[in-house]
Amino acid sequence: MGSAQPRDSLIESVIDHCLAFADHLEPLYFRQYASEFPPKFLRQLSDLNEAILERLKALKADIDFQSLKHEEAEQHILRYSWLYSQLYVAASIVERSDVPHTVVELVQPLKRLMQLQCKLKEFELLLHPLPVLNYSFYYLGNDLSKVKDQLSISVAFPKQLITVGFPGLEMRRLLVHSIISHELGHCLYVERKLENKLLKLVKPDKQKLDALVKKWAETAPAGQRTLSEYISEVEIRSFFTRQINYLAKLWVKELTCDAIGYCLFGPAYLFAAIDFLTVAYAFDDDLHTHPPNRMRFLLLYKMLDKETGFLNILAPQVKSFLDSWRSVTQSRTPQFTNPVSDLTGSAILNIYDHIISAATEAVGSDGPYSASENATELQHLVKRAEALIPPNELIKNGGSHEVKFQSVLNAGWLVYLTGLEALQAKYNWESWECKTKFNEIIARAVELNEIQRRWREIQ
Amino acid sequence: MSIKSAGILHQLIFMEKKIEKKLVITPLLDPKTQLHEGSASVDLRLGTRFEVPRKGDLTYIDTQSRYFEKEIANLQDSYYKNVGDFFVLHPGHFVLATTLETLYLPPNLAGSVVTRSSWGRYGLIIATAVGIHPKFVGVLTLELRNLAEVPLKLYPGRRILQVFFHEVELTKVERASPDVFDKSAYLASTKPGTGKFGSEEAEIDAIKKFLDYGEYPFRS
Repeated sequence: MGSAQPRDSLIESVIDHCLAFADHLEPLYFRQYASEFPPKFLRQLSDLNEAILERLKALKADIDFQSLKHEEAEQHILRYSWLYSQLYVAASIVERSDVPHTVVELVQPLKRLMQLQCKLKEFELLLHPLPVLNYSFYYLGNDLSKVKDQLSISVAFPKQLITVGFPGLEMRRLLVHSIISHELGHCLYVERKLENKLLKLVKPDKQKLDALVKKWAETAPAGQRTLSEYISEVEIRSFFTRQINYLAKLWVKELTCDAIGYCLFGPAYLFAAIDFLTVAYAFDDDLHTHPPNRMRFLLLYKMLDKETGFLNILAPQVKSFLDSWRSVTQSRTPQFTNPVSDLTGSAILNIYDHIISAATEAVGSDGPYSASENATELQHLVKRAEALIPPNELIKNGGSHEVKFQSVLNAGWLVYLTGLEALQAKYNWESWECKTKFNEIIARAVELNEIQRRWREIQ
Repeated sequence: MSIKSAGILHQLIFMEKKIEKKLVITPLLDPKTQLHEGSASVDLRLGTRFEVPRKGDLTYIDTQSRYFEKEIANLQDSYYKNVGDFFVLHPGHFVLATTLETLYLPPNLAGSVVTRSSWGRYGLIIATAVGIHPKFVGVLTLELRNLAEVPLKLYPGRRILQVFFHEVELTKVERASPDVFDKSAYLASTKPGTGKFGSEEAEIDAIKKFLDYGEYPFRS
């Protein structure tokens, strides 16, 4: 390498990335995965890597490349080397989505839900742990498609490949993973192009915006000039409009994903959101990425309150749990920490019906999961779960009947919120031991529910 | 002792309405095959989880040690094999697995587990803990061992064992409070579990003291 020309040295360095990547991929084939997809994906990554390696080797002898100026050659090579950061991320996600690190039971049912109900035929999921107390979404398929197009390499990555991260230390808390339905919502939000539909409906209060612009234009600390002496009111307005649009884009997306999460999983999503979000952020924290919890729960309660058939079957403890959080949510109108959040949040509150109807359409022709329509099923499943029997099926009329995967989660939550004290007392279990055992029973119910469905499909 | 026929078991599983009186075997993927006419047992399938002791890190198992259960539990490698996949059991190897089915027994039933003879003839032994007590709920842990001289591919979802169910005679007190049976350390199990001796602490302590004669007169 010492005597090589700089452009050869550039090529050699990227070839080293290629070879290191190939070495890294190889042992990953020998791991166990929750579905047949990760090994297939590893082969695709490997094919892409091989194609890049061949190209780089060919460049060394390519007269056109050799005749480029150094800066041009550098740009050419950087296109490949930058790609490796992305490929390393993809490989490390596969590495962490293997059986010991993922929630195995959820992978197939979620894939089935998105492929069959939501009609995303190329949907694939890598579910992996995060070292933080958070859930995350990454549209890997989108980015890989761009890479493939940019380099004109024919490797057929699935277009709708997403990765969802969950808090790794809480892997066995299956019920709280109902939050994942929000992350699936991100995929549907992109696929159904909901941003185009919804953002144009956000109309900030004109009078409030005028007043804000005027205040900024004309108010100045004592002895200083006003802002309007430097820039025009039009520019100040434009600044605020841009800020509002930016915030609206993120908040509408998050709220729509909440609504989709509810449409996909029903009240289980609300229960998980109460469990997880209320201790993640203060109720009125307006982050630049997420709206305050109060706004999120106002939306989710609006959806829950339409489910009268479900609300009527609830045990008193669950009713009182829901009522107490409803009263916290509705105790006052959302408060915002700055005028831009205020203008944005208030405008978004006016389009909740549109958000709900967009989410309802987004989940596919079968429509959203309705806890009301499945109320009787839920009552039976709750009885099973209370007896520590996995609530994966209904036994009636002399036979076994399939239940929806979401009903398993909802029944699980209904017992989790009411029955665990009784179970603890009956079996003399510690609280955490009881919660862990119960989550494992629900995980098993999810697994068995999928096995039964698959068994019937292949008969 | 009366053993329940497949027909009676079918009734208890699918016709009984009260959960306290029901026999639950879930999932029963193919009732006709698993509860075949003319038999007096139900066939159960191999589950998806396997636990293999990590021999390289394990010096010995001392069931008298207070912390051994946690140590052993942490010195197992866990395997998950989907239905359709397989696990290779090598000659002489000992592996914990479970039934695919979760069982719930009413207070008046107990069960006995045996390997299906077809598997036994290829050298597979599946269970040493053959009894299931009334009101047990959970998966059955299987202690798999390959006694043959060639490796055996095991497929989750295959029927691997049979359970016979017997009527249990109850006293008036037991009938009135069937919760007396809810004592199993393996209750509500969902995956293969190592042995538990938690309830035997007093007995273990007594045995430990057995040779500690201290200042016993005849020593001097």
